[in-house]
Amino acid sequence: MIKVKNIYKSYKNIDVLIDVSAQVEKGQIVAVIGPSGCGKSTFLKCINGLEKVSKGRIFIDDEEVTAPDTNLNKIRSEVGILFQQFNLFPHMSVKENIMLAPVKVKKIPKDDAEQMARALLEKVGMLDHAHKYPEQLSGGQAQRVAIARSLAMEPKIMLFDEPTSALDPKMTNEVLDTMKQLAQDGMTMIVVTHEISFAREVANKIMFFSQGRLVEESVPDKFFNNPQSEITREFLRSVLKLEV
Amino acid sequence: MYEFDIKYIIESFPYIVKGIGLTIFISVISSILAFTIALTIAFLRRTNVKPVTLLIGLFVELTRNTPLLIQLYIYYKGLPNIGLNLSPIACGIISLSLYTGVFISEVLRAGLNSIAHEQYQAARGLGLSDIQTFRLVTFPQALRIIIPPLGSQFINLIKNSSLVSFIAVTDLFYVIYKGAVDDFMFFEMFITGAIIYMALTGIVAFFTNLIEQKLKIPGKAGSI
Repeated sequence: MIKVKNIYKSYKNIDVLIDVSAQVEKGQIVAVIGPSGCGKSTFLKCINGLEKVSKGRIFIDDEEVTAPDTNLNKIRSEVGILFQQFNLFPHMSVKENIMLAPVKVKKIPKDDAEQMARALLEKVGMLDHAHKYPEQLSGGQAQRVAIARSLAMEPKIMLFDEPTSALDPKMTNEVLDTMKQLAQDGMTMIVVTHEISFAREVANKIMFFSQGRLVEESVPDKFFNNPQSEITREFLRSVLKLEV
Repeated sequence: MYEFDIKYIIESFPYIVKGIGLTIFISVISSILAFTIALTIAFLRRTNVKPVTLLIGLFVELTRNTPLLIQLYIYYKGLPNIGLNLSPIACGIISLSLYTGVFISEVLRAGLNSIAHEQYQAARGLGLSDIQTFRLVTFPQALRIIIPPLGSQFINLIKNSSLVSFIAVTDLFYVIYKGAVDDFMFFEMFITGAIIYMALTGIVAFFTNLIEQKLKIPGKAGSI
């Protein structure tokens, strides 16, 4: 479904991604982990073209994201992205946040979009807050609204950029539960995360980045219990205090 | 002992009202044009096309850093030399809108820069186009931030409009000045003029506050 072929990304003289190749199948839940500054967020943003690769190619189904004449707006309307800071639009109510893209991008009639917004808010447990404004929500609530906002575009793929990093443990669980539900519904997901328990329980593939390189890629069980790379072992020992 | 001649003011009131009318007319048209010009400048600057941004930058600096009165005369006395004969009122409106538009464009730019890049990314991430993102996401947020300085610019415009009297536009200042000089009613007319200008700018300030309250984002910290 997603094919990443030998991508490079550099800002001025700093190499953020070096020769990364990867593949994600439909319905897969991929957890992307690694130390801060390893390039994992950039990797995620390259997939929907929010960041431009310096070299290499990315395909979603048969469309090339990295082609110069590609319609990025169309690709982005099919690939949802969630951010650490939620990035809800503060001047719109919760409901308006969700209705914006379906109405303006997909040209769905307002009434239909409103019905859809209500259904999605119900799904993420936020229907009672439909008329509130983002600044009136807690972090966990805001992130669940952001998930609903992405789902409103009926994406084929959802990208998550550290969705729970700005949240306390209780709110983190709220959001993770919503994400687990999505996973059960069969959504293809790529999740940049520090939530190792989520990676372990929910993901069916782990990608480990270090210094711009995709160092290791395997199923969670193998990744956590029998990592192949010394860099991975070092990371698991020092950061996660795991015995490997 | 000096006697303040109220009777004179009352007698000249029909003329003053005409002057007020023209000042309001020029100010309202120029405000609308100035805002449109500012939006255009802000938008052209974002295109990142080098020749365009350089030209815009040059125009902004030239307009911002020279006296409005000189610009007024350039349009009024200079343009006929290249075959463009515009009425004094038109020259007044053109120079006021360009001058104020440039200042507003700077305010607008500061406002847009203060909107987090993540807002832009979130909008583009949902599939909105660049223009839709500007129109629906970043501009509405920037507008809320710049309402107070925007109001100041419109207030400046009303006060600056008094300069058009130099090119024989019979605006409020022209009427006031004429009365003062022709009939030696300096104190009467200038005080009256000051009060009327204050009333006009006061209306703008009132509506600025009203709009600011109206557009306030619920729950937003730090908004007044």
